[in-house]
Amino acid sequence: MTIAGDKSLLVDVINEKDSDAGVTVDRVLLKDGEVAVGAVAFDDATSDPLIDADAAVDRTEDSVAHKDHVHPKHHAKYPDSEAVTAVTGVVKLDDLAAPDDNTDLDFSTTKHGLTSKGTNVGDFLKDDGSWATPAGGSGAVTREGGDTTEATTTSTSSTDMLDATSLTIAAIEPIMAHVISRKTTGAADDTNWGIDLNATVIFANVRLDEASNEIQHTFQNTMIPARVSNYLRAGYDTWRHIVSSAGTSRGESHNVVAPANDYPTVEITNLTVTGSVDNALITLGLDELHVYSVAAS
Amino acid sequence: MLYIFAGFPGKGAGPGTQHLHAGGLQHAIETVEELAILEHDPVIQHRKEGVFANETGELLRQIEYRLSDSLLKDGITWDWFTEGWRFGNGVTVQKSMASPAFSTVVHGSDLTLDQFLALHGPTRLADLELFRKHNRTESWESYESRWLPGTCPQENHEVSLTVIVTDYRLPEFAYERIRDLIERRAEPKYLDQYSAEQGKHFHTIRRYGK
Repeated sequence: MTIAGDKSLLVDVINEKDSDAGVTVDRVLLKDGEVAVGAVAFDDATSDPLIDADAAVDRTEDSVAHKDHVHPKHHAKYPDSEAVTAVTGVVKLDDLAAPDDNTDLDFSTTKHGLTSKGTNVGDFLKDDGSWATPAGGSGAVTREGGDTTEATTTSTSSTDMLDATSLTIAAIEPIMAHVISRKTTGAADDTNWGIDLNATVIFANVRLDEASNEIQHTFQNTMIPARVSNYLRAGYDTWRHIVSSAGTSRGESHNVVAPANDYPTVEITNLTVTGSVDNALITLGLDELHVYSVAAS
Repeated sequence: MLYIFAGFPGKGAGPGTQHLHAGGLQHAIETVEELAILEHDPVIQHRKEGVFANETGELLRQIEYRLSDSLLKDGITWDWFTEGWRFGNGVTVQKSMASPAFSTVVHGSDLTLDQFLALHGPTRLADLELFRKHNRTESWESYESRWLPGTCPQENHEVSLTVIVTDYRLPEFAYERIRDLIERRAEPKYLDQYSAEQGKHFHTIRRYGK
């Protein structure tokens, strides 16, 4: 039976005539609920594909498998929130590659970020992202730097041991100097110390500890007053505490003593701590010199 | 004879390590390795200007000194030491600290933020560019001038020196051995001859603040 091309056939069911032969429509066999296909043609022209299927010239361009794995752009974009959810609690920050050695991500006064690279000179980080020495008042000097150790001597005559230079302490500003000391065993003798301001000896060869053959530690705190005309022999104030290595107090003192010379009335640029031992068999150690000026206004 | 070396035994070594201090170095030089006889007379005080009698201040003789080549490489010459500098006698490990002053100023104005705000009134911080300016005070320039040109560190720093005063000029082998101990981290010999008392001959390298 032939139906003219401009006619249509309306039917609900087409059944095979011969048993197990199926029904063939223009060489496409429909049989037992399955379709036997020789080749399948696809329309590859998606609206805006991420990947042009035809560009993958691997002989699978037209295969079902290939088409099934092409992800056209019209799929929903993977949003940031989903990316965050995907890595949160799974990927550790320290497992990621290190960022470049630059300042791209450094924090500033306008944005969050990473800490800028350190200076390795003992600076402190400021809130504008820079590293600086704490102000601490005019002329303050603090010990800065990495590895450090004590100044030591076996000199039996006075020698320069610790020198704080490049100070800018005005004459009207009182000065406070802290230093700690120790002596070793070796002889029943003591050690001595002194302080110079610029090149002026304020005191020298003042006993630091007790003349016994044992390890002793001391803490010295010295306050030097403002250095103004007509008051240039005003006493400096010292506190001292001596302790044995076992922790037993060997004495403490608090004295106000006139300086050995008139105080210099110019800006103080150097504070030098001198030291000596009464017997070369013992060693004097001085450490942690801190010089502070006290603001006068 | 005065000898000045750069640094001290163990300078730059890791925290917790132990190295000779002045007393330990003296023990190594005089007793253990017998490299030299050191000057211990309490009357003798070596200063920048000569050898003086400690109590009377009488000039006894001109000073003879030798500075390590390492100091010269760092920019430190005899002129680095200020007038009246006391080297004493025996062995001394000496430290000098310097701290340049910096201030944060508004770029193009040399004014601190406070001064700028006082002059200009309320200003958006985002509109300002701040930078760290080295305050070249007279004190700093005086300190810097002690160094060979261009060698003075421009940040907080510490200069460490080891000073040794001997009775006589050292033979070269002894000088080099002492220099090895101080500047090249040579191991002291015959460690069993040093005291086991803590801190008697050795100091411990530590981190700042610990």
